Order: sequence, then C-alpha cells, then structure tokens
Amino acid sequence: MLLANSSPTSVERDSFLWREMKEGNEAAFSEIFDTYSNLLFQYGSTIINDKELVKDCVQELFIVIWTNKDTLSVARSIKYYLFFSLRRLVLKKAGKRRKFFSLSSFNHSSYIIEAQDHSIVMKEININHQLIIAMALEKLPARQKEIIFLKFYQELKNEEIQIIMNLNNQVVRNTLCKALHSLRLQMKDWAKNGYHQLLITLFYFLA
Amino acid sequence: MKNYKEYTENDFVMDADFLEWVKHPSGESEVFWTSFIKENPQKKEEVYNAKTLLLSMVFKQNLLQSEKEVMWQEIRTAMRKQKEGKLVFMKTGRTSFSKMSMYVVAALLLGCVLFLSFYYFTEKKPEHLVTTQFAEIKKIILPDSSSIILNANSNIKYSNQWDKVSDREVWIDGEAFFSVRHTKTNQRFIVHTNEADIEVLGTEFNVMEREEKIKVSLNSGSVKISVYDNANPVFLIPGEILELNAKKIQKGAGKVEDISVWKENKLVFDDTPLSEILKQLRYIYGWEFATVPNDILNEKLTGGVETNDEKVLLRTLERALRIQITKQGNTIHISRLQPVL
Repeated sequence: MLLANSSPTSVERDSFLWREMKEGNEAAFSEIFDTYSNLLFQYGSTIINDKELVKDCVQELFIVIWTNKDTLSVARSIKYYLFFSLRRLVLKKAGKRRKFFSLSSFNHSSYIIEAQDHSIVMKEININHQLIIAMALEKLPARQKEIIFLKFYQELKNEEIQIIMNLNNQVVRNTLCKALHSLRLQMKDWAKNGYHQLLITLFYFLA
Repeated sequence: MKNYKEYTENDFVMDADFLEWVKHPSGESEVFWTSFIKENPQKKEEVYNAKTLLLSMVFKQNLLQSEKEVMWQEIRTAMRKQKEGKLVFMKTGRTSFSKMSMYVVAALLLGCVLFLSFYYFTEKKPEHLVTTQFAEIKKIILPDSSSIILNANSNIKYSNQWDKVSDREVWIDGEAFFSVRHTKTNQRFIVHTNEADIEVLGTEFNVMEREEKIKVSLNSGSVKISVYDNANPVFLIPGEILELNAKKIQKGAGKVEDISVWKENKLVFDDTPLSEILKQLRYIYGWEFATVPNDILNEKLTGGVETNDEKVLLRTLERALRIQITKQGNTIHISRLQPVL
C-alpha cells in the first residue's frame, strides 16, 4: 500500500541502490545523493524558509544514513523514508536555532514555473494564470506549502503524508482543503496586483 | 466507478486518478477524460481549471550544482573520518600494543608535531587571492569551512595557513556574502576593508565596498564593526544594515535578504530608483551608461531579475520601464520608447 507512486523501475532501482549502499558501495550511495539531494532540499524548504539550515540537514541526513547503514532497514520506499527523516531533522534543528536567534536568516524563496515535459498541455495554459499560482504558492503558510508539495508535486498518498507529517487522516484532508482554499484566495490577491509588478516578475520567472 | 459528473473543481484536484492523468497522461486516461469532457461539456471548465492548478504547482527552489558538490564533499569527508576511525579501532582491538611501543609512538608523534610547528611558524605564510571578472560569481570555501560567495568584479585575500586558535582574517575589495562557521575555540573572524574591520564569531552577512562606500548587512548572528579612527565599535543585529560613506556612519533596518540575493544570480528591487539599479549593473557587468534620459532615472522598480543572462536582464528592464536599450561593447544607451500611436 505505502509505496510512492513512482514508476516500478525507479522503485526497483532505488531498492537496488539502497541494498548496495548497505553493503558499503560508495558509488551507490553517491547515486542516491545525486537523485535525492535536490528533492530533499526542495521539501525542506517548504518546511522552513532557511536555505542554509535545510542544506545542513540534508547533509547531516546522508551522513547519518552512511554511519548507520548496517542497522538501517528500509520498508516502503526510499523517498518516503528520506522525507520522513529529513522532516524530523529540520524541525529539531529549527527548534534549536530558534532558542539562539530571535530572527534568523530568511532567504529569498522562489517557487518558479518550470518548463516541463508536458509542453503540449502547457500550451493550453494561460501563462499569466500559471504565474499567479506560483506566486500564490509562495505566500502560503509553511504547513500548507508542505502538504501541497507532498500531495500534488510528489504525488504521495494521504496515508503516506499522514505518517510523514505525523497527522491523522482527517487533519491531512482538512489541511489540504485549507491549503487549496488559501491558494485560491492568494490567487485572487495576485490577480488584483498591479500590472507593473506582475510584468517584471513575469520576465524574472521566464528568464 | 466515481461519479465525476457531480465533481467540483476541488474534487477533481483531490482525486488520485485525476492527478495521475494530469501528471502522467497515458493513452487510456487521455481517451477517458477527452470523452468525459465531450459528454459533459458543462464540466469542461472545472476540469480545465483543476488541471491548470495541478500543473502549476511547481517548486523550483533548487540547489546549485556547486552547492551540491560542496555538500557531497563534506559528506565524503565525514565518511572518510568514519572509515579511519573504524580501522584504528579494529587494529587496537586485535593486537595489543605493549606499553613500550605506545611510548615510542607518542614520542614519534611529538617529534612530528614539533617539526611541523617549527615549519609552520618559521615559514612565511603564503596568501590566497581570489578575483572575479565582470558578471562572474565565485564560491570559496575557507580552510575553516566557512564560505564566501564573491560577487562580480571583486577580490578577496586570505592566508594560506589557518590554525585552530588565531584570528581568521580576510581582506575584501568589492562585494561578498559570508557564511562564517563558529569554531569550538571561539576564534574571531575578521573582514578587513579600507575603512573598517568587521569582526564576527559565526554568522551570515554581506559586505560591499565600492567607491569609498561600505555597506554591511547582517542576515544572522551578530557582528562588530570597528571603523578606523573611530573609538566606538558598532554592533549589528540580524536585519540591520550599516552604511559608511566618507567617515559618516549610518545604521538602519532593511531587507537584508534582498541585498545578498545576488549570490543566487538575482537582483531584487523594492521601490528602487533606476539610478541605483544602473549603479549596481555597473559594478556587476562593468557597463558604462552613456546616454540615459534624465526623467527616467527616478523611476522606481519592484521585483526581481536574474543576472546570469544579460540579454534577458536588459529585455526585462526594457519591458518594465518601456524603454529601449542598445548595447555596444560595454557602452549602453537608453532611450524612451516612443508610443506607437
């Protein structure tokens, strides 16, 4: 049940790499890092808007995995396991930091439209509308951003999100609804925004 | 079978099969949804909107390749340390050293340390110099694993040999963003500029020294700035900016994250007049602005631009300000765009 719905080949590849890594194969470990570091960074950035902290956490996660590779077992999928572990690390570190700094570094976050493979589909879509969604997404509270990332961008199932975010099923559904609702509100806000700002941002995103 | 005829836009968005079709369309699902829309034209808009929404949810806050490499290097270092640690452990576990041989090893090690430190203190410390060209950004990892991102048209100098006790020192000319690691021994980290020293323990901040003007902005941690010929040091807290211009010190709050956004190859403007923007472009690209209509210099811009593609950058400015920019070599001419009608 709890398998990330990536294609079977990538799941097979993942578990192959994971087994190799557990045997001490550094090349396999490097493959895993290559495949998942950016994705993890993206995920971490939805939880906290602090680039350096998220980078530290991703790095630490991989070191911990290597250190404990003999005792690790992976049920379900690697992606799911990595997301789950990263989340705990980020929250732990963010909590610690909050004690020391009242105001830590806020990096400029950006959720930018990406040219995807769905080029035919994308042509149908009004680019302005798409931009507005991207900008609205940026303005969402962290938890809602996170759940949108997991549900619609990573296409995880509610059951998986439930465990990763440590929420019960009802709360997952409510948060999703709330996130979609505030996304729509934000979109309205953005649509109202001045032409000038939208234009320059548009070019920035297209650049 | 789900009753899609009763679905609202939200229901479609939340439906797993719908998502599967939108993200990974297959022949089968294409046929299903096309005929669904044909049979239920009143649902067309809901389907279309839901699809747009899902396809537009894209997160693209990516790691730079260089950042990824730095991370991997650090992971590798940790792996290597573990390996060594393990080997040593295994050896001592199997063969027991006699006390005598332990003394020999200790003596040899002591000898090595003495020899190396003699070398270290007598030899002249060589210096590292890192410079950037126009439109170039470099990332530097210092021996203490602090990092510096050096903006275009800048240079930074530091000693080749760092130890675990004495001050860490760098000399800057231009603009750089510093991420300073805090060390266990509380070593100071000092950035020297022409007019002031900036002293920190572990923190993130941006230093700009251009044309006698110095600007320090603090992202996190704390820094102490000692302006030369001035007895009282200035302390900054996160979010504060210090400007030093002709010995005059000015301190205020501002969007410090926007100031250092150049390190991601971006510039962010917040009600910034064009005159200020052109100045920044001059530092980054070395352009000279030959003709600029006076009346547009005060026009203000809000938003962000990417700086790694100058064509796109210039086009963005053209569109936003309704101006025409022509570039010959490093010289730039700006003219008002005449209305077509």
